[in-house]
Amino acid sequence: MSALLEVRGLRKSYGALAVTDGVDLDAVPGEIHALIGPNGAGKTTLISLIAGEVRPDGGTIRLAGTDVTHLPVHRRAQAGLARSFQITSVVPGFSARENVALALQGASGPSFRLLPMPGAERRRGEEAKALLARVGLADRAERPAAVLSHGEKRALELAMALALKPRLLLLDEPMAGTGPDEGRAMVDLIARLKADCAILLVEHDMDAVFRLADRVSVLVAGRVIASGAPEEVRADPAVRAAYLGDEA
Amino acid sequence: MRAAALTLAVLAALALVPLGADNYTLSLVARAMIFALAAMSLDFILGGAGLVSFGHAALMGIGAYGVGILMEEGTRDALVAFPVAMAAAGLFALLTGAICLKTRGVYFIMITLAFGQMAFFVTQSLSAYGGDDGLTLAARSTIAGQRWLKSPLTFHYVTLGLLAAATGLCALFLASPFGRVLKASKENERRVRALGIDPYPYRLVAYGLAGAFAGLSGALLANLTEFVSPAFLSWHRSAEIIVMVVAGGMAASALRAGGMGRLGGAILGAVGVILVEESLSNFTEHWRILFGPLLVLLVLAGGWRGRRA
Repeated sequence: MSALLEVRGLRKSYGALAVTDGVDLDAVPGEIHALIGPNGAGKTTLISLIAGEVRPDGGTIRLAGTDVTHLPVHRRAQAGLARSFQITSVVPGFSARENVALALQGASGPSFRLLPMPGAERRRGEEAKALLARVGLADRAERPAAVLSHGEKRALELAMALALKPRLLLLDEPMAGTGPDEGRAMVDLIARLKADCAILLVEHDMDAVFRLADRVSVLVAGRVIASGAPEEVRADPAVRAAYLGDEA
Repeated sequence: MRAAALTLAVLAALALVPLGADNYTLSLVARAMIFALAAMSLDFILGGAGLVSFGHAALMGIGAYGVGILMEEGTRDALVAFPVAMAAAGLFALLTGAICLKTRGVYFIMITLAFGQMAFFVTQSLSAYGGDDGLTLAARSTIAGQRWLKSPLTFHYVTLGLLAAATGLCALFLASPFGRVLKASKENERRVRALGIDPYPYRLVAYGLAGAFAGLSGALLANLTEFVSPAFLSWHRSAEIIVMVVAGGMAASALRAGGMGRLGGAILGAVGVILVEESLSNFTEHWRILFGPLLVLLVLAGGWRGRRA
């Protein structure tokens, strides 16, 4: 299967510091590709480059064969790229259902109908509730997002990403800050999602990474120092030295 | 719920004013309702979409000049003049908004102020229409040839009707999927972009609509005073309208009846500011010395109750 996301020779520097230094990376439909690396390795910058929030100094990003290197964030989202943020990002004043409804609006393209359309809005509400049920938030639909627990906000972000029916899902540390139960539920959920789209996962929780990932790439100081099946990467001496230490 | 109740209560109170009011009071309340319309249209973009526009008086003034210039040229009927005033102000908002909305925060405030000042100086240089001295209207606009606006009572209800209709429309806009994008972009623009939505065109349409309603308020103001002048477009007046929106929003949140962006507060704020200004200025010409502390108390009360809500 050909890659849905193809990153080639991607470079980004802040002053003299090369945060992304010639990165090649692929994501394939039906696969979870995990990106790991120590703090400061440039994982979040790489995600921001792929999502379009940061402009690269060089290299290309292709999504489903189309060069998106110079497209703005919303155009990449329209092309099938959805993401969660390292620091959860929802609309705090909206209910969970309205957050997902907003995402569904994003999926259906720009609309400037100024007056409420009860029929369309009801359908959108039903669809939003179905998505919330899928991430385990069925009974939280009418709660303001601001009062949801951290793990619930994480799940809400995922529901919003799913509403876009993405071809590529970027997950930036979805396990961070969740409790053990919420973390397990999140792992199960992500495992089920990979049937529908390609997933690029940045995660610190090594148990989760090795349970989920079909492929692991290790980023150190802006470079991919190893990439392959989880077992190979785990056994790679360079990786052990740079990152996993004696823990693995 | 309580936000809608507040709006209806204020509009109902305004509807009852003519029962016990002389012509002077009626004209004062008409002025309050006209500024309520302007403040409501500003709240639509300020509270609703987070756009702090500092050029709202210019939009109002363009509407007023629209009526004045048309009358000077022989078109007296409101059925023509009011839509033209709305279109002119709406178009000005769209054209300037296309540039202003590329900026954020304090830059947006400054650039809307700059465009407002440009419109101010253009009206000053309109020597054919009074220039610096302003333009006195021959009479109030007619409606389908009838001189209904001449009577303070019909003027009151026409103004109230337009205020209610415009508020209803703006409330519907905010409740629509379109309004959802506006509100979400105000709270978390980055998230909205990541969902594939570019907030820019939504904000531009909202800005144009707010301009049209501000233009309508200007058309009414020109009729009330039977006079238009560059002072209508001054930046002081833009600041006053912002004060109305903020004070009203704070009062509404102190009453636990919404806040900014719920429109009712802006109407309450405009009516309150005009009436308080009137009664305080009867005591002393330095009425702002009393008005300032009142405003501070209101903001503290709104902030305190709003946080606890």
